[in-house]
Amino acid sequence: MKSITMLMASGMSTNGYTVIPVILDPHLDLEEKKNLHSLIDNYKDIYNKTVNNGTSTLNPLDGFFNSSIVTINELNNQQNDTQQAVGIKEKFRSYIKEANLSTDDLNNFFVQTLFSSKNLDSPLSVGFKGNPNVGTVVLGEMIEGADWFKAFKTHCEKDDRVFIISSIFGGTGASGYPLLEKKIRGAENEPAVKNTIMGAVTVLPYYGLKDPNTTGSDIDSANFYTKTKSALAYYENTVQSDYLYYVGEKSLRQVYENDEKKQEDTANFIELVAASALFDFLSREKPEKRQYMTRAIENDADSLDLQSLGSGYKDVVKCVADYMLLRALVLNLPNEDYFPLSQDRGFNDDFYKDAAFQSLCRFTEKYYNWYSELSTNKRAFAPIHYDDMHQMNGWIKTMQLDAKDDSYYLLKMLQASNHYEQDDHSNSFRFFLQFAYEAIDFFTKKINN
Amino acid sequence: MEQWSILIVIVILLGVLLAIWYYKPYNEQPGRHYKPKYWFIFLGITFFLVLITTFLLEYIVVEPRLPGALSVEIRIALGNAIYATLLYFITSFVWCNWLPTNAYRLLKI
Repeated sequence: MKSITMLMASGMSTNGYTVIPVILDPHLDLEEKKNLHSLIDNYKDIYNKTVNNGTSTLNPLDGFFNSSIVTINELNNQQNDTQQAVGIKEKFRSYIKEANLSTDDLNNFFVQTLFSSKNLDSPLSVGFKGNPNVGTVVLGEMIEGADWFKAFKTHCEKDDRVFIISSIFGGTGASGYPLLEKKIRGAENEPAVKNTIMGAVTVLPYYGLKDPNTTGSDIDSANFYTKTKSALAYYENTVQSDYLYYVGEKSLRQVYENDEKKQEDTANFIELVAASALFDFLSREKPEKRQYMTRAIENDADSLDLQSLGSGYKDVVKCVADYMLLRALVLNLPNEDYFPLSQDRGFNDDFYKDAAFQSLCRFTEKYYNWYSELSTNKRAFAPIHYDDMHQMNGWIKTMQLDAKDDSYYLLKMLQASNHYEQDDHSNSFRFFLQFAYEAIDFFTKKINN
Repeated sequence: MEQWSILIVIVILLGVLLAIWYYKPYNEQPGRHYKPKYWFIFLGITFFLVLITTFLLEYIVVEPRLPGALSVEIRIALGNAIYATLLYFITSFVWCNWLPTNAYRLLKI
């Protein structure tokens, strides 16, 4: 979802769809999850500020922040956090009421066969620790009883779509995806839900975790492939999505700390590819029969640029390059003396100190960190040079842009401003993003050619 | 009279044209040309260009052989340069307030 939010901010189109994220993570206190919610709130704040025109609402922008994100809480006019209902603060043993089974009960033997002691003693508030057998039992009830699922069923209308993103080698995603699909396709009383166009991206193993014997973790990444194989065998005859995207790596290239409490995993190229599947899905019609999709890169390089990624990734590269150029403008313009739009459009000190621009600065900082992680991870997604403002024609590796430095973009912003009447609207922040996008797109659209 | 006309035309042409050039074609080029320092550079160019052009034309038309003639021609060239600068300033004022440009509107009221 982080990569989806970043791509949406960069100008990737959702084809007019509003994205309503539902994050199913039983891990209640995960910092990364909180950061994701904060990122989404940040995005929504910026989007709302671009369409706000005093008493009226403007059409979404072309380019940056062009699509709306709405939480299911907002849709349902609920104040409480429906995400909270996904987690449970008890042990699995207690959840299945194992204590009620007598020692010679046949069901007790059955439970002992299916679940290890570790499984049974596992607190559900930290997720299913890579155990889909636990997730399968718990998630079904969690989904059915959750406020968000009721809200989803109430608000899902004809032509709405559902896209499920999950990993196949863990616990929550591997068990949650087929369960969720089953709940949706089985909604007999809600035909719009039952017949919705559904897509899913299933992420195959792409990272490893440090040896659990040294870290004391319950998760062993040595089992990822075995779990994947068994899950795939199960999916083969059960999945009901119209489009199923498979994304994965050839090997577990990156090894993270094995700490299920923190899960401080840096952004990975595979997550970006998985995110791009959503945008592909939203651009497609309902197929006559189920479609299995995957995509490859051109060259098996450790650090991917436009050439080694291949032509299928041009839109992603353009988006990332565009936002990093926006970042350059966001960083430099507040210090730019005598920029004419400070007079003509009010891009002055007050504008740069205003909540809207500050919100954009915060998002941009997060974007920069995200791209930095992507560009240094294994494998690295690093198609741009962004550190030399005086040699910007090499912004895209393996391609020359016509803009030699940032003054080219500033000039194009001025020219873009001349195309708009002062009374089109009174939203300076929207003008800023409009002019910046037009200026950047003028030079980077050649990436897509 | 015809010679004076040429001098007036030089003043008007260079004073106005250099201002137009600054506000339109020059500021359609990248390089942060909107910054006021470039406006002042154009102002200087206008002054010296008119000064030199006027003096050269005077020199060609009426070579200063009489005593004091050179001083008169220099003063005329200087006056012409000041008028041209004034015209550059007036054109800039009009442009800054009422006409489209990518330059910083230094003289905007």
